[in-house]
Amino acid sequence: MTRSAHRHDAGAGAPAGDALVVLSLYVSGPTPRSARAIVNVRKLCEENLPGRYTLAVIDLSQTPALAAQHQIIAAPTLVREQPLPERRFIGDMSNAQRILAGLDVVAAAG
Amino acid sequence: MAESQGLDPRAELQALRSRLAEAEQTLEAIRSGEVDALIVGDDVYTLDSANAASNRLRSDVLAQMKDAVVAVDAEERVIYLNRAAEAQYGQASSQVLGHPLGHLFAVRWYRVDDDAVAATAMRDAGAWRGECVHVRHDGGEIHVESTVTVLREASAPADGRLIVSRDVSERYRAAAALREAMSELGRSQREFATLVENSPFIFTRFDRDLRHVYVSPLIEQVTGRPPSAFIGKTHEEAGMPAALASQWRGLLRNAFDTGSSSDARFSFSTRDGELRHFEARLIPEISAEGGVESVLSIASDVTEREVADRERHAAEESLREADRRKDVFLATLAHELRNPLAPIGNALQIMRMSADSTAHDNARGMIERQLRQLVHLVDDLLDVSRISQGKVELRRQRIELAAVIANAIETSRPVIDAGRHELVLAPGSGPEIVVDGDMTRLTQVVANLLNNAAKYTPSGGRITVAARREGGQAVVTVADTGIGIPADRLPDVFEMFAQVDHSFGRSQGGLGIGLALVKRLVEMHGGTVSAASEGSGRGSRFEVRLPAEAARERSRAAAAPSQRRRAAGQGARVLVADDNRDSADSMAAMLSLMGFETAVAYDGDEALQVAAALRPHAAILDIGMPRLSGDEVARRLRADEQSRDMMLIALSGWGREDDRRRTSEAGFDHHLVKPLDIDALVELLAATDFDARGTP
Repeated sequence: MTRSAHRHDAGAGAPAGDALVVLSLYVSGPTPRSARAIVNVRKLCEENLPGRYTLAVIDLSQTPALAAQHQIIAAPTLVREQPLPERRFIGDMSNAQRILAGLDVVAAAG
Repeated sequence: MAESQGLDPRAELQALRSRLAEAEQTLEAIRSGEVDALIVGDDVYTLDSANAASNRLRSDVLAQMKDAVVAVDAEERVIYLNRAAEAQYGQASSQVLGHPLGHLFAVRWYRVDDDAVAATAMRDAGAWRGECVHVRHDGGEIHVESTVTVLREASAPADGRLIVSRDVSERYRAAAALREAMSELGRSQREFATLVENSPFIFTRFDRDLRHVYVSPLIEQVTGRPPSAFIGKTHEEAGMPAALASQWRGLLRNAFDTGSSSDARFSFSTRDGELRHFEARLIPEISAEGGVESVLSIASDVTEREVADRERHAAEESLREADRRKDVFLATLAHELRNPLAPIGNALQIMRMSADSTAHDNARGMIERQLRQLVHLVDDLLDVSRISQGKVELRRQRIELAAVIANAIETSRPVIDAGRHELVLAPGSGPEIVVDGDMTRLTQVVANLLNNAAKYTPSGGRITVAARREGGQAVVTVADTGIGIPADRLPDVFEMFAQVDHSFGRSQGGLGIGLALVKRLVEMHGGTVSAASEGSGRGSRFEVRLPAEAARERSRAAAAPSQRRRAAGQGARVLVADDNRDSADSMAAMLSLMGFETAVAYDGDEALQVAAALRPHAAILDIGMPRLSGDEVARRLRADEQSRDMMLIALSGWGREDDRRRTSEAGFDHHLVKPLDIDALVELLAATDFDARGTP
């Protein structure tokens, strides 16, 4: 869950007109908030960025060193790594509107 | 910061704002409890104090587990999977997390209702454990042993599930292979059982301790006990008879020691006490290591075959014995027939060479005795043969036993005298004992017993004849002081061609026919005959028992017939016609001696001519004559007025009712059977008043 190698494995079928959104979700193990964050992010992406995003879930409880490397100070933290500039969101990602706004994504209809 | 160098001030400002917003959001998230961990340096500080320790522990444990661990939330979305799960389902967690569980695998149940069973267990007990198939996203199938537990989070509105699965595909395939093998084995075992249980053979298998490890059900039919009474036991332990158990111990030891097959025969007395015979083949069975592991015995019941074999042997033996007796008989017969010829030849020689009348008389006497012997022999033979064929009929009448004995003694006298035996007629053999019988045949019976006694008694012995009445029976005994009969031969003496002592018997002359004839004739009279002897050299005693008649008037037959012979003729004329010239001539000669006037004819035509010329009072006609048969001659004589009242006597080889009816229809007055009983003929002629009949 921590490899950066996972970045290559999605977005192959992304529409050419839209930039690929590369996301990393840092969680602190199988906790309820992490679970909620994961589910919320996946839902949000599937609904608004279908086929043009990649999501890496990184468990800091297994690889704490990655936290310092990516300047993560709390979990769960969602990082938009592409397109730049980097954006960060902290929490269980239950406020979808705010995240979509932060990601510069217009919420999908319905 | 290094990365912001070179950016335009507006962009830098934007970034700073953004950072500030993020910082504000972070603080807000922390304050609102959305954050569960803070990271300071390399350390992760979990904020949920209540679950901190257990979370950490759980996380470590789950990550390390070899089993695939997958957690889903209440909406079946994947919220956790460990490395083992990534490997097992072939997907990285990042690809799957947050997706429905179906992205990872689909469940296929082994049985239709497994699904419902699992759901019920989850609802009622909060856990289910069982086996099912996980079908991976790429279609691969994994047989898993799965434990599913409810995942309850205090803060979550509903329960999720934790699915721990162990890949048991390997084991499953092995088990499936084993099941297949077992079912194959089961099938072959069933085939073996079907084969064995429908086979007429008894299969048994023994281990190295000589104990039964398999016994086919058929054993119950033989021993009355089921196979279970034998399994795990030796023959001794199963209570088999000691001799049988010992025999089997030897057979089995040998099979184990030598490793080679062998055949055996054994007998077993069944519960019903019937002795049955078996043949068994013992086959050593070799183990993978090379030693004899067990011995298989295949036994079959050969009792019927053995019985049939024995019966066949007995039949063959009895045929051989009959054949042997016949050979002996033929040899003896030839000898017996030739025996009298030598003295006859000698006598003729003497008569030719000597003019002395005494010598002539002696020689003639010798010829007569030998001739009588020959005739007797041939008569017996013919009689036995005729009795065997049912051709002899008894001419029964009331006769006195005394007369029978007197006639018999007269018949046998020459033989008795030749042996210089003393004949004793026991006192009390009174004439009042009467039987209903055939005089000729009963005389033959007693005479044969006398001849037998004379023959088997060394010269100078004593022969005792006695008659008595015992209840409803007339009993005649003939005892001698002769060679006796060994006890083991007693039952056989009345058998055809049986002879007690071949060397002695032959030297005395004997075909073994006499006693056989006695037995048959006595039985025809409804009587019995028995032989007794105290052993070799101690004489024999024969006893004839006949149903007795009440003694009333004296039978006419009681008087000895020979006394009347001379006077019988009264000068009456008799024609004798027979194509056997000797027969005709000798009969004519005899009748002449008795005072009859006789004439002979040698065929039917001649008989008619002579009858016409001589006009005899009586005619004795042989039935089987050439040209004209006796029947035809009789018919013509009856048709002719001159000879209509002539007394006609048929002489026939046959004496059945049919034969008698035919001669009667041809016009005969009487029917006499060959060999001719002269006494009977004389009586017929003597009883006839030819004058009253009307002389032709």
